[in-house]
Amino acid sequence: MTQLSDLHALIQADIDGVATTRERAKLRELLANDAEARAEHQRLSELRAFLGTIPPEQPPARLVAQVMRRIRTEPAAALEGGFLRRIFGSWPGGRVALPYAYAAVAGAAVGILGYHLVVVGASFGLDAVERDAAATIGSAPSGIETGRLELTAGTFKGSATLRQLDDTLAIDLDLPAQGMLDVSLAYDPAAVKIIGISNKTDGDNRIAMADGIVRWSQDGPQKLTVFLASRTPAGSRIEVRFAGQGVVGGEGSLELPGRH
Amino acid sequence: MTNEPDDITLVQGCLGGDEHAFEVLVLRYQGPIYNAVLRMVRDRDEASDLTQNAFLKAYQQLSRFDPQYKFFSWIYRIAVNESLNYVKRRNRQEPLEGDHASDDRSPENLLVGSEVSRHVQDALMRISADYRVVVVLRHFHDCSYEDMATILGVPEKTIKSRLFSARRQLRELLEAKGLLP
Repeated sequence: MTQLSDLHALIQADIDGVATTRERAKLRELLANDAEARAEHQRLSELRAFLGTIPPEQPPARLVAQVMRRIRTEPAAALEGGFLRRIFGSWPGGRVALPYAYAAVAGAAVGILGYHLVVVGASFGLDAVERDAAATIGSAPSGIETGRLELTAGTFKGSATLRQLDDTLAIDLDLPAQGMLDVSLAYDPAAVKIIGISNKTDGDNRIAMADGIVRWSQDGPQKLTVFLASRTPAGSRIEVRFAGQGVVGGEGSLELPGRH
Repeated sequence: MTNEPDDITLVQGCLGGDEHAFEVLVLRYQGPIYNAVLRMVRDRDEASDLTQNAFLKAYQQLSRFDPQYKFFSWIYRIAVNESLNYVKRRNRQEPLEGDHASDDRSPENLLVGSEVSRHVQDALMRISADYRVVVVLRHFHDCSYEDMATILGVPEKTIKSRLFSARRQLRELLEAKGLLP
């Protein structure tokens, strides 16, 4: 880093209004005998005055609500993680490619399970997936119900039902929200693998996955099924948190069986 | 006199379990933080996401906040780091000239405002992120050299040197656009 010359340091201190009386006197003396220094002082003064005319932008109206909802629904350990939108959004051409990526992921899942699923993107070499659309889904396979969690907060009453399929588990979430509701599922990524999510409701939602967390927001009633598999013979737990418009935050957990 | 609780009181309240106390801090700083991030990355959607991330990280790491420092310096530091990390990631993936490689994004998401504001932002995106951040903190947030040194974790002399070079570059770019004589 180049050191600032004494003259430039004085000019800058004066421009920023932090020069002492003695420094200002010294600067006046220097400027009186140096046309180039006077020009420099003039240019930086003009820049400062000009930038002072640029007004600030208003933050998004829902920013505070979004922050507070995320605080209520996201556990600390799971904040980090590159989401598909970020990865594709910052990759050259990624904004164009993103819908195709979503379509490819969903399409592959249709072939495997007969559902429009969002599958954690091993085929893309990614550790996280995000999408921005609700899929139209058929009915889920029945399986055996092995657990149920009532998700209540005030007058809000929802549920999470755990079903054992052949080699996988399914959690059916029934969340009759009237407005925007943020939901997150937190789990131990060493013990559980999320296979995919099917959304049976229309609506503008966004699902994000990273190691240890799945979260989404959606306006209106939500019916989703999260498919997952245990990685280890030992059982584990998945925590469900929710909060939203007119819904005081709530949480609960489901015990998950280990791998057979 | 004001009845508004100071930042440290709110932090203490939050650590004591009062979530509303943190909401007051978010309300208080959402404008400056969002604007600082927006000036760093230009894209409104990204600025909103990064601002949310910054507040979320602050909340999750609140117990680590040292009250001998100013809360605003601490939250600015988190937000600036979020922005700089984002810019680095984007530059790795878009090895184009400067940070203006994001010009192909949808226009409605880019910082537009007035024509003058857009030109200023164009010029800001053409200087390095290290220079841009000192201009943003000094000119748009009126941070002192000391505050900037705390926020960026570098000595004050480095701040002064970067600021002078950044101003010269920015001035030249704005002259080239005809915005300054």
